[in-house]
Amino acid sequence: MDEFSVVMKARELLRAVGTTDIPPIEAYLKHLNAKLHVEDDMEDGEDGSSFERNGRLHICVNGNQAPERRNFTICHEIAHRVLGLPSEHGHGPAWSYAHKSPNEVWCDVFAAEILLPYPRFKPLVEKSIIGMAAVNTLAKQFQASLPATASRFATVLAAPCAYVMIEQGIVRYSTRSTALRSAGGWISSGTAIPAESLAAQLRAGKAYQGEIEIAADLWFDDWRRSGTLLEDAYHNASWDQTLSLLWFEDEEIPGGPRTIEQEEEEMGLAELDGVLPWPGRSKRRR
Amino acid sequence: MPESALGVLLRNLRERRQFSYRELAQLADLDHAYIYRLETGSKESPSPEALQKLNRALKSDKRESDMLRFLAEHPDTAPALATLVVEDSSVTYEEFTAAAGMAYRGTARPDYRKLVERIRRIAAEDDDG
Repeated sequence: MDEFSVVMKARELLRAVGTTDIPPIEAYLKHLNAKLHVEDDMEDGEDGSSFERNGRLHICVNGNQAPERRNFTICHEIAHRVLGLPSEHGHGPAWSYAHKSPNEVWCDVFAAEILLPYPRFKPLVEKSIIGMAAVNTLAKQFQASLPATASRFATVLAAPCAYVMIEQGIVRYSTRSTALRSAGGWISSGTAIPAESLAAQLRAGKAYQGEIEIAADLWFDDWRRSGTLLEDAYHNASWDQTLSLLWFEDEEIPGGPRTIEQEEEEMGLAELDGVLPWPGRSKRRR
Repeated sequence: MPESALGVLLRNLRERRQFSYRELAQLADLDHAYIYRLETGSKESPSPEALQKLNRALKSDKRESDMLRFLAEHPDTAPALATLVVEDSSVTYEEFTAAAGMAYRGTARPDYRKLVERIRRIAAEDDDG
């Protein structure tokens, strides 16, 4: 299994269902002859589960969670069935996306693909003014959660963009647009967010006053290009969860990494002048 | 402590018949060390022939032998589920396989008793149409 084949499977389902509904949940359930059960007695951290009985898929979701989150869970459970992947848990801390088992990651990729279908979602993203306001509008339109929509927003955008999910000031995971991936923009999971970031300011209790400018190398690991990012963020104080969206002001990656020649020109050895730098002049006179 | 679901069920069946490892090995015509390894989870997925020998020696009923066969084919099944079916003989093979094959999302897991109760309720609703 790889990301490409997961996306292709999701698009096969989209084509087979052939719906233009937003969100297309009901159409998926009908197509798969699946039955949805909204359970009110699930634990806080239990998003949902699914099982088969007499060839019919039963999907249970947590009735105490927001409908947007339930929608993603339904799509995730559909993914288990369509991809034929069993649940795999217990391979690392539950909070860690980086330690999530591959099956769970593939099911999340599939879920995002069918909840926010590329052919419908991408044109709306490209028409938007980049920022959390646009993410919020699209989340409402597609009845998806803010984190799922923000992640998908950054992934499908043509311009270089990253979405960062932060918990307790630590990067839980990030997603990037193809342009940013190609340029090597990388944010490590498990690291503390930069103190200068809008995400950090909102966590510290500063009032939101819109997006800010921030040096790209503060967010990206080993970033050798220059450039200033724009950052917009949303902070949920009750869960200490922050979503951050990063993109370049002119929507283009700043100039490429400096070449060896450029580095030598700026920082290299002085031009040879025929005078040896050793031993010191005083010793040579003697 | 057994670390596999198959080990949990096999140990329970052996102890219920009050067999030692050597006694069961003799009756089943298998190596006693192999049976010990199956119970402790260091060996899993026994062959259909070995399972048949164990079932015959243990005089397993249909539910037990079906469950042993399922666990041999699904070594990832949680030992906690096997503990439940050992403690609660009302859990049917169908409920057991539905619980074993259940997919989850989230950071919390319900206990298997609760899962089986959920499966029973949904099955009843389904049968009622």
